[in-house]
Amino acid sequence: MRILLIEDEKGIADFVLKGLQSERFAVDWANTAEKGLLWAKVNPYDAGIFDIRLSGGQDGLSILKEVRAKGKIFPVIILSVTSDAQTKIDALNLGADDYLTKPFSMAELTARIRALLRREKKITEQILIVGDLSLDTRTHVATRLGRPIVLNRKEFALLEYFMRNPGIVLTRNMILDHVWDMNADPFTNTVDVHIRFLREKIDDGREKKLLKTVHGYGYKLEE
Amino acid sequence: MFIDSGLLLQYVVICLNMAVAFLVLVDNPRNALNRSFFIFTFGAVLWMFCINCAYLGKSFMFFRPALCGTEIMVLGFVLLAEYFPYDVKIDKKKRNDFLLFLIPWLVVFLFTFSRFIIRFLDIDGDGYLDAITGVLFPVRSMVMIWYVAWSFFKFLKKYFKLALCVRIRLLPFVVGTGLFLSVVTVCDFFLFVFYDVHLILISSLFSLIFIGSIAYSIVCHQFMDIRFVIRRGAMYVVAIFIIALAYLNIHFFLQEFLYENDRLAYPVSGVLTTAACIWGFPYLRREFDEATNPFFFRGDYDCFCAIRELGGVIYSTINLNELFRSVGSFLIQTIKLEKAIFFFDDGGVSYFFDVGAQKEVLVDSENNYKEIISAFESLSMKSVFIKELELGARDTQQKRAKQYQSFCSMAKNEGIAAIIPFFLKGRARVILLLGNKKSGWALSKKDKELLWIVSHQAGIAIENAILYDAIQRHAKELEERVYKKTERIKNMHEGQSRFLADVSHEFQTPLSILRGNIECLEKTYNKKGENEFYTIRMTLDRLSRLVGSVLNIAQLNSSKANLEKRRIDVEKLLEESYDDCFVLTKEKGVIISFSSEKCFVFGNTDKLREVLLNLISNALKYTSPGGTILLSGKTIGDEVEISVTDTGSGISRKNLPHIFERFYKIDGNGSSGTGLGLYICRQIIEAHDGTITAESEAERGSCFIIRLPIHVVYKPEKLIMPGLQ
Repeated sequence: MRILLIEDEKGIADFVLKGLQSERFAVDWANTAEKGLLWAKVNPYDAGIFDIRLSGGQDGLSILKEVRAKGKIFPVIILSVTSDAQTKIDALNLGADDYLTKPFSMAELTARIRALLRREKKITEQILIVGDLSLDTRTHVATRLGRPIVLNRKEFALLEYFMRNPGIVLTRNMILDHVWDMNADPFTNTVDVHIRFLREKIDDGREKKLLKTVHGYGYKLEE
Repeated sequence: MFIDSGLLLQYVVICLNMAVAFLVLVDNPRNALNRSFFIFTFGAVLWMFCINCAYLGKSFMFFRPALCGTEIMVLGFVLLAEYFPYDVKIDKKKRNDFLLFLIPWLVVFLFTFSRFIIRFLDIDGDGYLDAITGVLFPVRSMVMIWYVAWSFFKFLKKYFKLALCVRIRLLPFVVGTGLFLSVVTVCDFFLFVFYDVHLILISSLFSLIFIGSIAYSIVCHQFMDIRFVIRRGAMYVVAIFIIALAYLNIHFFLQEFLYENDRLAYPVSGVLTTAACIWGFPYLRREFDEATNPFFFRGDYDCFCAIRELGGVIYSTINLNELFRSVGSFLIQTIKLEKAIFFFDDGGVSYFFDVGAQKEVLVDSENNYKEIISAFESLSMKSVFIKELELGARDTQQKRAKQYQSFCSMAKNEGIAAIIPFFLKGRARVILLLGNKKSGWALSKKDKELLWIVSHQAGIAIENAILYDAIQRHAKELEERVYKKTERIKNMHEGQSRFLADVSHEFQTPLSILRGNIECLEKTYNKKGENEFYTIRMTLDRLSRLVGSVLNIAQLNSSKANLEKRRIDVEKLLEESYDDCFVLTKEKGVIISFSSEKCFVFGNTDKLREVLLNLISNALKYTSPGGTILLSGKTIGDEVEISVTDTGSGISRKNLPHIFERFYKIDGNGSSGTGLGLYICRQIIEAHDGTITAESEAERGSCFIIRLPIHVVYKPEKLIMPGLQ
């Protein structure tokens, strides 16, 4: 897997490089926008990590725009220090696949990259199946071994996110981002509590537990 | 025959004199000068009449009244001299002196009826009267001459004290008096003393010239315009002519009609004519006045109307130049002047305002207005009328006269007829230069009175305008200063917000590096130092949360933070928030519920949700299991009230007023919060033009109330179309 990192801050680039390399990714680090853009155009990448604020002329978003204009569709994560909704919306509109706010943990970044790389392409599927668990996205009803499970709104959203990313570790921040659309958790334990309740519904009394805790990282749904 | 025709002439003169006397008295009956003149003329008329009667009747009976007449004449002359030139006010002491001074006259007057002055009248061979004088006659004559001489001297003394222009006007008075007195002295005194009474009647003929000229002077001097007198005379002549014509016509017509009783025609036509006169005279007079006005009183105006108009003009504006323009135009139109120029000097600013040209004139332009103004200021006079000053210049000291004359010629060259200063706070800050009258006549007394009124009335208005101007300038200055200051404060504030944003922005990068490296270290050393690494990570998290909060505040404070707002359904907002935390509350054993009316606010959903979640998380933190949290939304007037009520531990009275302050932490609760949560809530709500308040009772719970302006969309009423049923 080859990843393009465009980041002008050496300190950040260093630990990102270290972190990703230890996860067996091949990383090209471009410390300027020009270099990054050139590489993005000529090399085949599997994913990109662009810092939104770069010293010099261009910023991450304009690079993204040009890359997308060249027909390159590899997934891109935007790194930013601001967490306001507008920047986020702008980035997603320009074709970014994810958005990560500094400071972030390496685990978080790795998890997100994995999620993007292994993402199911058919996201429009209506019935999601993981093992003996299925979820009808139209009726919001989950069934396990043919027995229906009633979910409330948040539980449904949570389960859908897991079922669309089976086998991938999802960090608390990723879950908060995707399910609650929040950057910070005022309650500090929102995700954990919800996972516990969801677990009660889908795993309690079952031999095989689907929803697993990855200690120190997050959770994953796996057969 | 000579006597007869002479006597007839005398009667005509008597009648004319009497008419003139009455006219003068009626003109201004309260004026002592007019009264004195009447006494004098009455005496003269009495004297002439009695002399004539004496000649006609050859009777001694009329001779004493004739002498009385002369004495009354003398009295009148003394009074005239006393009150000359214009109703001089006499104080009590002077009056007593004057009465004492008249005692000899009274004695002589009383002795006139005795035999000591005139014994009897003789008729000589030619039929002329010859008076046989008594013992005291020379004494009487001496007394009278003394009176006349004294008065005449006094009169001349007063006359030469007057300004030349006034003297010119009173010249007929003096000439008439002199002529009359000399004739009377010659004919009625010297010749009389030498027993020649043949020419005694000639003097009475001169009285007409004399009385006429005096009358003219009095009327003219008092500015009881002589034109009035002439016009009134002409008017009566015309009236008499018309009446006579009417009478004759009526009479002629009646005679034709009543040819049998033509005697009846006289009284009937008389009555008819009188009736016609009573009905027609006022009408005739009005018509005549109107017809002759353009001829006699061209350019005249009604004083009251002018004053009334002036009032309107003065209060029409408070702008100084506007005021100059309106007052100047008023004067130009009313007095019919060629021009009017205002000079304004306010210490620093000075300029001329030409009313005719409607513009400001440069101080150093071609005309010599500036020199005129400085010359006028050096004269240190109140208002100046150039013609009067020119005439008066001859009476003053040589040095002064020269100054006056040069000033007058300078003003005349520029066509200036009068200079009127407007005194404001004792200083002539505004000076009005007036041009000549378009008719070429001098300014009348009426014009001068009007100018006096204008200078006082407009002076007040001008002062007001100057003050108003100053206040306005001051207000503008203040406004500018306040604006500048506000702008500076705004910029400072903006800069502060920007600085805060930049700083927190810059903090995030090193924090990221730190965190990344800690993770790497953690991996390397794995479980050995877990606890220490955990603490470091938690501290880093907290630090980055703090930095994030500060950035959030900075963005909210910045004027550029135009939150993207839209219509928000409060019920839905509360429901979503309820959904977000339902599980969390359930986990803790707290019951959360919500109730809301259907209402809308205009705002940013994310930010409002942030506020609500913040409040709910606080409520949850301080509410023990079994407690309740209630979210509610309702409309109160034109506001939407959203409240989060809990049954938690509450906030103590000491802390309650400070909870929305930044970095305020309730001591002893051991929370790991940043102390910015509620502060950010307040910032967000204030950015929505709302308020947030808290009510609480320790150990019983607290209630946070958000009030936001209601958002109402006005929909057009449903169209009713009966045809589409």
